[in-house]
Amino acid sequence: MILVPIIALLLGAVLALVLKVRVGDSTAQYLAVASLAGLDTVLGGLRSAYESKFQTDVFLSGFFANVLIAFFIAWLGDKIGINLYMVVALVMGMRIFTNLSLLRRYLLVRATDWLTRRKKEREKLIEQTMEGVTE
Amino acid sequence: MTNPFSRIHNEKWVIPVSGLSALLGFMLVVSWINDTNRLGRYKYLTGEQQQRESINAVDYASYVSMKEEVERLQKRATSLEKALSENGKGSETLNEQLQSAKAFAAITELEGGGVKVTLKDNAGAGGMPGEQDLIHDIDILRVTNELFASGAEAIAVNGQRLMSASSIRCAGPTVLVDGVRLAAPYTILAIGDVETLYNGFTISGGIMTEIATASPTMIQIQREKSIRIPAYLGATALKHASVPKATK
Repeated sequence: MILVPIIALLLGAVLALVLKVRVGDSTAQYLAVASLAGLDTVLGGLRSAYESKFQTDVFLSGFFANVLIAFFIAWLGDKIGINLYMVVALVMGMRIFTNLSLLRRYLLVRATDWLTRRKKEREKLIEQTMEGVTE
Repeated sequence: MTNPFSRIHNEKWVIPVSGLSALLGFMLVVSWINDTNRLGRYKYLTGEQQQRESINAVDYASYVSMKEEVERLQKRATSLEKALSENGKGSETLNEQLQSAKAFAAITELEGGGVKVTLKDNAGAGGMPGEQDLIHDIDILRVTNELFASGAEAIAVNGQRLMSASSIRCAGPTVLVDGVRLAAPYTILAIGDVETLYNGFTISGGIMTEIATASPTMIQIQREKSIRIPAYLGATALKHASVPKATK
C-alpha cells in the first residue's frame, strides 16, 4: 500500500515532464520551498495512517496550507531582503526527519511482529503433527 | 499469512495521500533546475550552489569529442578549398578571400611575431593567499582587452583561441574560456607588432603594473619573434542570427 503514493509521485513527475511546464524563475524558486512543505505533509499523512489516526480533512487542509505558507514566506523573504526560505527549509527539514524516523519504527515493529507470529504458527503446527504421530 | 506492509485496516488515506504525492512530484519537477532555466535561476542560488551549478554545466567529454570533429572537418575543408583553387584563376581569388575571412574569424591557425604574457598565482605569499594573490577571470579579461587595444590580431589563452564571441568567466577555482576550464598558470599569446604590444602592455597604470604591485612574479611579458596561435575549435554554427536578404 505504501507503494501507491510513491508510484503517484513518479506519475506526477512524468506528467510535468511530458507537459513541459515552465514557470517564472522566481516562482520556481518559491515552488521549490513549497515542495519541501508538501513533502513534509505527505510524510506526515503516511505516518498518521500508520498510527491509525488519519483524517482526510486535516491532511488535505494541512497540505495546501503548508504549501501556501511556505510559498508566501519565501516570497516575503525576497521582498524584505531576508533569506526567510531558510526558515522553511530548516523547520520542514527537521519535520521530514521526525516523520521518516517514526515511519521507519512503525514499519520495523510491523515487520518483526509478522515474523514472530509466523514463527509461533509454525511451532504450533509442528506440535500438532507431533501429537498426531504419538497417538 | 498476510503481508505486514498492507495491514492497515482503515485505508481511507491511500487516495488523498497518493493524489497529493502526484501533485508533489509535479511541483518538484517544475522547480527542478535544468539546462533551460539554469541561467535565470542562477541569481537565486547561494554562492556555493552557484559554484556547483556552473561546474556541473560544463560537459567536458562532449567538448573534447566535438573539438576533434571540428579539427577533422576544418582540415578537410582546407584541402577541398585547395583543390578548388587549382582549377582556375577565378576560384583562386575566391579562395584567397575565403582564407583572409577565415583568418579574421579565428578559424585558422596563424603565426607571426608577438608577445607572451604569463599570469600565475602568488606562490610567495605567506599564510593564506588573499584576493590580490590569485589570478581571477577579470584579470585575464583585462589582459586580453589591453592586448587587443594595443593592436593584437590574434590571442590565445592556454591554447584556447579567442574569437568575436568568446567569453571568459569564473568557475570556482578555475577560469572558463568559451566553456573550457583552464587553471593557473595562464599563458596568453598575442600576435601583432612586437614593440607596440610590449610597450602598450607595460605602460604605467596599466593592468601589468596593477597586478605586479601584489607580486612581480605574478605577471610577466616576453617579446617573441615567432609564435603560432591555434584555430578556434568550438562550434561556429549560428542559431539565431542570419544575413539579411538585401545585403546578400
